[in-house]
Amino acid sequence: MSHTLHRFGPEETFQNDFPFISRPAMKINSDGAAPKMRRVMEIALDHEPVNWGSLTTKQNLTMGFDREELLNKTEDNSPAMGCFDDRDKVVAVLKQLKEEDLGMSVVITGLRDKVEEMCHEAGLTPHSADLALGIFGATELLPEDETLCFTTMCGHAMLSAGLVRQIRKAVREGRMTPEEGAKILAKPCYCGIFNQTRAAMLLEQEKEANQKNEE
Amino acid sequence: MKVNQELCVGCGKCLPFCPQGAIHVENRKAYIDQDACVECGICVRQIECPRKAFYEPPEVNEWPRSVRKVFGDPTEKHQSTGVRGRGTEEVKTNDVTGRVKRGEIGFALEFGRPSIGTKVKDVEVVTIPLAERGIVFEPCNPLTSLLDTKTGIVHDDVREEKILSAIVEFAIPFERFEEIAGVVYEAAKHCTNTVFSWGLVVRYEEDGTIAAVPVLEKMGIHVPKNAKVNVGLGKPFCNE
Repeated sequence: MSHTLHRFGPEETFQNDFPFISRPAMKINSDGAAPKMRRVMEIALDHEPVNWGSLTTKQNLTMGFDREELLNKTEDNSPAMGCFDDRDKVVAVLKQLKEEDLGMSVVITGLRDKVEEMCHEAGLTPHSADLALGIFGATELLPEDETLCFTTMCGHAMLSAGLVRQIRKAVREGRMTPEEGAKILAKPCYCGIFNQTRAAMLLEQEKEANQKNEE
Repeated sequence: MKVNQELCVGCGKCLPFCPQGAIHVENRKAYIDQDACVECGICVRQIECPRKAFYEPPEVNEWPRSVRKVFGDPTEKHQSTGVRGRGTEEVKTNDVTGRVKRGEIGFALEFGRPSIGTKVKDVEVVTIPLAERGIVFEPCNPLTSLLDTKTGIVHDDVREEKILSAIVEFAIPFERFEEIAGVVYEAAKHCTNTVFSWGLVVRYEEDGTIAAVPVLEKMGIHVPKNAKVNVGLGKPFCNE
């Protein structure tokens, strides 16, 4: 499914937000893909993603995981999933993957022109894209925009609006730092595509705006 | 999911965690609204319940309630629909599968997303008009198995099941893009019970452009800058 797509928020908040997914195509290049997928994960993890996850082990980087355990549990159809908060790291990963020619598909989510530029820098030609056209229908049922910015970072919708509101309030009131809040919000997303850096930035911005309003 | 009433002390720590807001506390006991629950399992996995009172009852895996779990819990593999998860590999492996080639365009209309959830029957707002126009729904998508694909009508036994989200997925020749995008855009006006997130799977042209973008702009549909880009590293490479 398209779980890294449809992230919500002002364009400027996506400058350092790059979910990463790699996987084999079932029944085409999936047989015997485990060592290749393991290598994809090693390369990505060596470049310090801000988050990483596994639906197999039900863990993400924020919760803490044993890298070797994760790598050892790699199967032929295991996807590699995580998120980077630095475009240069993504470019470095793409360059190394191109060099090692593992043949596993990779998708990077983000602002399209930025991702295209990163591909070209890595010597790659983008093949196809999934464009997010937005939310349609009974949009009046949605949580407020400030909350959607967080909940949509878990595309499987495991992060509730209620928890986001609770953390936003705690940070606004100074009972928690933005970083502490971001870490709590990252936990429900086992895929590891939740970007704690972006979440902390959003929480910090809201806290500052709140302080200014009170002055 | 359910709460073991003998264990629950009604502390309310669980209340913010449910993505559907289905947990409430009454007379110092937590309860889960079974109509609202989509069996995503976040309560069992994530809530630090001091009494570990949340559990998955056996009926969760019985038809048709099992549909909720298939479309709600990303951590489990399920067999009740014959395929896994809510969607397909779509653009993720398009450089190998060639699922959407040049001259084609893929639609992924994810009902219930974000945050709202949906009754399975709510997808009919778009599946019926699409079926009338001869659209062939993606056979590997688990939602397709819940439809009469000729009419777009959802099967009776699952109509009322509430799920976290489901993706109406199909591909068409590019010549039909404006017509079908218009159908979806019109259907959105009648989608009053839930929301859907609209994704378009497109192939880059030889010159690096995307043919659908100017068509959408001409139709007055804003094209946000967010996208999921297949970077073309897959082998064997499909250059169609």
